[in-house]
Amino acid sequence: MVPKSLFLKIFLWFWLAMTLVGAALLITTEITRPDVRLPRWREFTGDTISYYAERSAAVLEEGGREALDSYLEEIEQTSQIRATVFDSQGNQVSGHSAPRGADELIARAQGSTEVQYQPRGRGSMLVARNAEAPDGRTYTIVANLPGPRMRPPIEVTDLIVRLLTILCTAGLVCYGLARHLTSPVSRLQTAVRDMSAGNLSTRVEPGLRTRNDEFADLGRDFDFMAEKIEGLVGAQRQLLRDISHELRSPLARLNVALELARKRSGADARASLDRIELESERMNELIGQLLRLAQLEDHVDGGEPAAMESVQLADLVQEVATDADFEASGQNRGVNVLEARECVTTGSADLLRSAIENIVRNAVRYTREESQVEISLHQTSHRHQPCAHITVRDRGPGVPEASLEELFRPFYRVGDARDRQSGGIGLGLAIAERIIRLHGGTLTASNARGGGLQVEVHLPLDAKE
Amino acid sequence: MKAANPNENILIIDEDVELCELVREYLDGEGFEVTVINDGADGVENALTEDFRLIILDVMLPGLNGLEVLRRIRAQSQVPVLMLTARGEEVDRIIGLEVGADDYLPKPFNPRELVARIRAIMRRAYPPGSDPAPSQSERLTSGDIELDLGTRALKRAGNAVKLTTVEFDLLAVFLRDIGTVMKREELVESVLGRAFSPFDRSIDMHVSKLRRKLGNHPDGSERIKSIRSVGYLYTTAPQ
Repeated sequence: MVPKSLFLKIFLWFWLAMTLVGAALLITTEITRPDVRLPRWREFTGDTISYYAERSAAVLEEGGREALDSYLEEIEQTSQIRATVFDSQGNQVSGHSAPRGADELIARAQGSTEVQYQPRGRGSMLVARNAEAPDGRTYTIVANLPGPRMRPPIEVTDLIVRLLTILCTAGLVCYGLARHLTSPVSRLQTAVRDMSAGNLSTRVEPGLRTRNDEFADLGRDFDFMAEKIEGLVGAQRQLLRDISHELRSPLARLNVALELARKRSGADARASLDRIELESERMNELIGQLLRLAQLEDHVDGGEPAAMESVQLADLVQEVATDADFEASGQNRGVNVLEARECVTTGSADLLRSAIENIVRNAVRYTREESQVEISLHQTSHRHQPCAHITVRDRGPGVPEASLEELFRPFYRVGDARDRQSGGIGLGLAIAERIIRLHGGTLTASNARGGGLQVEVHLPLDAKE
Repeated sequence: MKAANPNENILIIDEDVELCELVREYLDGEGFEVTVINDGADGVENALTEDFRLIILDVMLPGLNGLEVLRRIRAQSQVPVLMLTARGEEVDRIIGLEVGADDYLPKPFNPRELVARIRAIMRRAYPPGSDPAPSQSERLTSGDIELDLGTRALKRAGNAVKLTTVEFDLLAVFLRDIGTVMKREELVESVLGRAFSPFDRSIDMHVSKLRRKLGNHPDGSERIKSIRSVGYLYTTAPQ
């Protein structure tokens, strides 16, 4: 498994590196540590063997071979050291049979006054020492001693404890390091996500104030950018709102002037005046929707919840469908509710009604003559949250796949000529989308199998107690 | 053109000078005498010192806000006030009615609707006491519905139902020809007063809204029926 998050990567890599370095250090120090036991052992054995050598020589001088034999016997019994005494010609004088391969050692010992050593198998050591008897003859004593006790094998529990200590310390340090390095990154990430979700007032600075590194610079740059964007978007919206408001005044005058013209003109002008009235009505409708959209976007961005009341979605869908069916029947179209399960959500009934109404009206507009718009409402769950799923499907031409995403953009038109004829302004779905978003839901569009556009609403429901 | 009736003098308090002139011209033609004030404070003073039959007051005023103007007028006078509000500003409307406006009309408005409302308010405020002309209180009834053409009021089963001017006119047209299919074209011409255009769906919207407000007949049968490709039909009330 390759860890995906930067935090995990940094943490695991540094942790691994520190642990490996620690373990390597532990092992090398263990291997190269000078053994202090050997010199001490030599000193101790040297003294002992020298003493035995001198005593043996003296005993041989005084009591002959038998006395020496018993002396060596006594040594063996008291200290488990089996010694052999040689004369200067290298012949065995007394003791146990000489250990094999001792000749060279004996020769070495005879030429020296120092204790001579020769390692043998299994950690034992042959030790030899020359000694001069009081009569001037020299003897050599050879003993097989257990070698210096080898370094005890490293205890497994000891090793585990040390490794664990390294792991824990490294883990703590690496955790801190990884946190320190990645926390500003994740902070920036949340801020960017917040911003793309529409919350333009997001800033990262307060969280990075204590730092003074590149991350802090990046945070400040982000804040600067966010401020610019917020200003631009705000100005654009304000402009749209101001224009919309201001357009109403000339429109009000136009309406009055129109009626004056109606009074004063003859029948010839009637058709044109009717047309002017219709267009002015459309313009007014458009302005109203624009203002509505701007207001909704403010609500969505401000995170202001919609009016809080309990809304029976099934009733709402039924009502909208009945009205729309009534209107559509005049145009040889129909609206049909396939299924409407009981669903209760919290929000503004007025807003939700107009969202569903906009979606259904849009469907009625595009569905073929003699066909039915189908609505269904049922309950599903999304991320373990109960959620209402409303589907509105028409039997119209559908929308090119590439345009599906654009459908909720204000003024978006799939095909200009047809849309204008059908009387759409291009704001209905945009408004619906903002309303659904305001209620914490989502609105998606897809082409249904068998033709026609399918718009789906997902709305979080009240959790059942 | 009717002669101006000194008893029908109206005060308009609105910032938009040009609009006021146009409205004055239009109302003139309808037989009203109009005074225009473009400022809130002056408006209050005029409204209280002179004797107007009705005041048209815009909510959006510079300086003294429309609602404040209304409050000051109401403190001393019960003269009928019609408020002009920005469309969609629900709050303004509600507060306006609470403070004591007699009616409201969203801007931009159709002057025909303005006149209809002015007349309706005046009829309510100044009922013809001496000679009640029967023609003025013509009533159309059908089943539980009672439409008073004089006061432009609708009662369903004794309860008042608020209708817009268009909805009211629409219902009047329906009630005059109960049981007859009304063509969409006819409805557009007689109610909206303009020629029918095939892409114009507003009459369907108005019928739909009226239908929602009225509901079905008490026995549950459909009150207004849609006739495919033709128009609408107001059904006879069940006996």
